[in-house]
Amino acid sequence: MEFDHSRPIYEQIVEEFKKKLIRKDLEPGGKIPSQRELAQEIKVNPNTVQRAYREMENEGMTQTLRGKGTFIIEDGSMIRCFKKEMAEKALSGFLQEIEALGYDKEEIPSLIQAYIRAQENREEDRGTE
Amino acid sequence: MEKSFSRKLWVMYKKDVMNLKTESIFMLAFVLGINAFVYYQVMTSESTFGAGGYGILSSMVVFGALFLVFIRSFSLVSSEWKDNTLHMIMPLPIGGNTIFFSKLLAILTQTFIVGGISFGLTLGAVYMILELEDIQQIFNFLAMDSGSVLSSNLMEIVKMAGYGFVSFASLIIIVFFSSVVGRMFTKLSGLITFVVFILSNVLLSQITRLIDGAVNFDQGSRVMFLGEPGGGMSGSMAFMSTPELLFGIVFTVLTSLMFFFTTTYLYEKKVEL
Amino acid sequence: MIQFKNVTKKYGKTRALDDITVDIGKGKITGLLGPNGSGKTTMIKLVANLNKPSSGEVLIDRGPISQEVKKRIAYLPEIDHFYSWMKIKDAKNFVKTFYEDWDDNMYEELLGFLELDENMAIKKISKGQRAKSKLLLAFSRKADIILLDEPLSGIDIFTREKIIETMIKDYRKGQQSIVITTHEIKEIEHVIDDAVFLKQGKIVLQGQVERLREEKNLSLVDLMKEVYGNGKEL
Repeated sequence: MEFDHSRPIYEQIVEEFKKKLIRKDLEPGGKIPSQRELAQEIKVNPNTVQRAYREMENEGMTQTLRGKGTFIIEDGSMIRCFKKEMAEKALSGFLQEIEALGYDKEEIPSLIQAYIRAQENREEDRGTE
Repeated sequence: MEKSFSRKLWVMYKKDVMNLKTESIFMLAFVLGINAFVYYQVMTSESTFGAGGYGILSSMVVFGALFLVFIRSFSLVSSEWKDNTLHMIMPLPIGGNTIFFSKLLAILTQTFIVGGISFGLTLGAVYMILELEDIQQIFNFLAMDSGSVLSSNLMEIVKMAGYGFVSFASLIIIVFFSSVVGRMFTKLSGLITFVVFILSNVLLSQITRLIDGAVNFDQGSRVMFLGEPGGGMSGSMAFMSTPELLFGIVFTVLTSLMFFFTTTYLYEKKVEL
Repeated sequence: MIQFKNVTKKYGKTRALDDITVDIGKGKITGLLGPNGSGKTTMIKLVANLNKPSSGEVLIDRGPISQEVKKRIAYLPEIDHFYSWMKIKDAKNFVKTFYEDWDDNMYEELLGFLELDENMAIKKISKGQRAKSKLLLAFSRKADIILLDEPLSGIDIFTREKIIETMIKDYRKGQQSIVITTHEIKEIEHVIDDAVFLKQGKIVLQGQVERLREEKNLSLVDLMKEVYGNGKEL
């Protein structure tokens, strides 16, 4: 796992679990690795992993059953929230960069549409060859 | 489980013996070589170089070997600075007493092995060279007489050897002391070690002379105190009187203890890497 | 748990540490960071009892560094400190005699993990293997305090990863305090809890790493560049 070291690592660990849920690499009710296992796997300070797990539990995303391990809770609706949350995060980064280039907010949707159309055309061209 | 003190001392001792191992082998090779050479000379040449000459020469070899041991004891302390092994020793949860006592034991072991083997070689060679009647004479000198278990002559030799041993141990402790003092300075530590060693010995002999003057042992001859290695032995042909010998031993042991504990104190409180 | 109180350490006229006051937390992995000659190693040596402060005091659990305290410390020096005749096995037998917290099982496991053989003569093996041997001795104990002086310097990238994994592998959260000095900040970026930045014997910045990231939006490497002026001194 690659980290962006200018942001807290524990946040990025939590995000990674959310992405896994969205991508269905992880199912609701599924078991996640123990803190020790994860720390060793991603080579991160166990104290940081502990903080990430605490954060997830506080958000109601996981629960720890004594002697059994840590599980994602059985609530499918949660995933939709995460999806929205992650999308918003991606969008905010995108907006910041695009605004820095001097575009107005109003121009952005058409910019996106034009880009998508161009992508589709290119794919069609490739298909006919 | 906490290991016993003797176990810790043993491990430290083994470590110091290992550090001395290579040199000991070299010293033994040196002693063996010289003995073989001289023995060969005596047995093949027609010269007047007889058993007596041989005895004197190989006694010199024995002292030479002891002198090497003595010189080596300087580097047993300083090498741990030079090769960084002190980084292994200083953080250990043990005091300076164990550390230096094990070094002393290791050097004494080396002394016994190197000194003992070269002495044994000399005895063996002399025995082979000598005529039967000469051997008879030596036995007469040492033989049981006047009803005591041991002859007084043999007894005296044992006493003198004991005194020589104590003096040698004391000398080694002073070597440790001066090495540690030398190591308290970052510059010129070798020179400082040497000067401290000489001064300590001068101081000791002055004190001895003063006490001697006051007490005035009138019998026997003077024997040099803590001078050369085996200093006690060098004058041993003229025996010391028992009170004087006893005084010598007690004095040497006491001053050695003083030097030893000062050394370990300095090591624990003042020495740095 | 490890407190430096107004500690100054002079070597001749140079001040290796200049009036340092800091409290290194219990159960944390703390990085002492800075360029060569900034005083990191001196701090470690003061805790390992190899050096004594010129003034001020170094305390562990509010007490001086006594023999009892030394039993709880494992120290890994930057230089090679083994006797020339030692095999890994000899070094083990030597070290384990002095520490009650030595763990033979941990030793066996680490030996395999680090791909070492206990019959290796330490003098003859590669630099990376020697670095791993030092690590093996330090981590085969359940020591409360582990002092690592530049464990990564001059080591290839794969060995570095092994070394970092070893640190994390059996780390006992909350109980074990690891202090690590390094100028290879990138490698330990996500390993340390707290950072202490040193410059010419003085502390220029300290704090929890995650909080520093949150507040400054900078990685430790970038933060270091900021602290030391574009990293020119590195």
